[in-house]
Amino acid sequence: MSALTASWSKSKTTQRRLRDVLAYILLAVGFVWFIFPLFWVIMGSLKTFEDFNQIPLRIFPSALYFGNYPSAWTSVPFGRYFINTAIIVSLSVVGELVSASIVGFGFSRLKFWGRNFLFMVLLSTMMLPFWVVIIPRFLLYRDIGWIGTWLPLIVPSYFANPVYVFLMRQFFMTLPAELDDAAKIDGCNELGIFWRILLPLTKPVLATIAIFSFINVWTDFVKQVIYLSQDSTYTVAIGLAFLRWQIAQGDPVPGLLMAATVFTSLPMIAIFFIGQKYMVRGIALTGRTGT
Amino acid sequence: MQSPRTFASNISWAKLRPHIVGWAFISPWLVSFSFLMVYPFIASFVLSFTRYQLIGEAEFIGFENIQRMLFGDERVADALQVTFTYVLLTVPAGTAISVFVAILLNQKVRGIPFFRTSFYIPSVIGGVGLALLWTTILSANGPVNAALGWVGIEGPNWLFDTSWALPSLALKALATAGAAMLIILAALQGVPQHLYEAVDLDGGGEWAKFWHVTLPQISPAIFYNVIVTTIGVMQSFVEAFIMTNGGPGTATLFYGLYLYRQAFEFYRMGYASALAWMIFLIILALTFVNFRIARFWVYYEGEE
Repeated sequence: MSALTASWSKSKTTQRRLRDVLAYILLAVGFVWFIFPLFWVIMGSLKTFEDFNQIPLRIFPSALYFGNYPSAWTSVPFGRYFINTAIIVSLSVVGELVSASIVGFGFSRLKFWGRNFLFMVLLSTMMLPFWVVIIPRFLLYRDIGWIGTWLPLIVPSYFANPVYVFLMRQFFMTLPAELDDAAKIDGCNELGIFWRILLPLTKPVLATIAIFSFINVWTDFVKQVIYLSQDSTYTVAIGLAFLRWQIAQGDPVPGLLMAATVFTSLPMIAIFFIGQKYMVRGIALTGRTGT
Repeated sequence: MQSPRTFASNISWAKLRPHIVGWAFISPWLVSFSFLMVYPFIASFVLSFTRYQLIGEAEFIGFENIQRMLFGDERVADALQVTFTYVLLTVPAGTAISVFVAILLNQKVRGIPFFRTSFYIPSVIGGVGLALLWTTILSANGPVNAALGWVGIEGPNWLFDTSWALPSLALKALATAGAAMLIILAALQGVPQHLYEAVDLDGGGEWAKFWHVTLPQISPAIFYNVIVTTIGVMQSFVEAFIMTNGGPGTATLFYGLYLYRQAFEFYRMGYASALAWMIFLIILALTFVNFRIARFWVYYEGEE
């Protein structure tokens, strides 16, 4: 009897071990599938021009060559573009945080006429295609003289992105209503409840929004290319596109393009590693990354 | 003593106050909703019936744009075909990959956080950077063709080959499972454990658990991903703009790219608005169809 149980449990552990091995094999395949492109570009950024033309193709550079980085950095004025993008991104992130927390508070902690209906409307606007609103927006910004400036990229952030409002609301809903009641008894009005009692508790979700909006604004090429028109205002994403077209027109330096891809992706990767925990939670909470 | 009049207005102020405060708190959104959503939405509809080249006044031309779009402009049909093909190449396969990878990341083995992070990284890079990255991967003497060379296949010049350019862009999309994968992972972690125990008691194996518990339980999350990615993919732009410029020929002429060119390269604002409304209606119809089909495969708790 006991021998039987022993052999049974032994086969169970072998089965488990087999399962783990299979899982690791598949995870390794997935790792190559998702990471190889990045690995290839990092390696490529360190190759000389000759390395690219060797047959058979080499994966690793013949020697670590860092020359692509300074050439890429100066082939397009990336220094200025980085500063421009940093300004646009930081001002936008502040706006998203301020407006989403105020509006999210309204939709979750206050009762007023039309609240539920308006919230449904807000949710449905998340599904509205970008292309159906972009032309009149462009004309509107042109009429007030904003085309060619950063304003169309920054100002809308101060008027509450529905995705971040949703995220804020979901989080506010988890905080106990007793907090508001106690504050009211102590003589706090709504602004006080929002600012002094609840906002300090929302740091994790503010972090999530900050990370999402950082990444989204940094990579938002379409709007940048539509609204910006002068070299002095261009962004990193536009700079990358320039580099791409220069090379497409016959400047044959793949290493240059790869180096530019690496250093322009670094801010996003850094942000991701710093705030990974908040990002994963945010996606689980809303099912979106906020575009 | 208070006059009845002020008394009455006091009462109504006390009653009104929470509503006014509430509307004040949501006012930033009301502003953007009015000026950046409702107004542009209606304005682009009106613009659809005009000719407007940015100079002078918009000229009312009735159904001319719509007629041209539906019957006179071959490129529109090309762009729609490319876009639908792209949706078919990326959404079903992408959904399957996200489910598969999420299940893999839900295994109880060591090192999962490391794998989760690495699988997500391509999605973080996004945009132009990721498009450039794949341009180099898919170049004629790039690593994909080198790998094919090892097994004796001569790979095409992916992005410059009429029949391979669109599948190349799809391949790039499939290597960026990102958010969809994390959404499914969150759903997997929310599946109640006792349902698996029930299958154990009934003597069911791994497959039974997957088909009768896991899949129904995560089907709402899968459905959500299908909806959101379909809407997103229908509007694709950057990949084609950066990697192929819509070519070769019209092989990767995404609808979004065609619309962009009409609006911001040729400044045909009226015609581009008509195009925008058509893609809006198509997306709306697709979403509706998706919801109808969902009845047959999406499982909601508490439903028979």
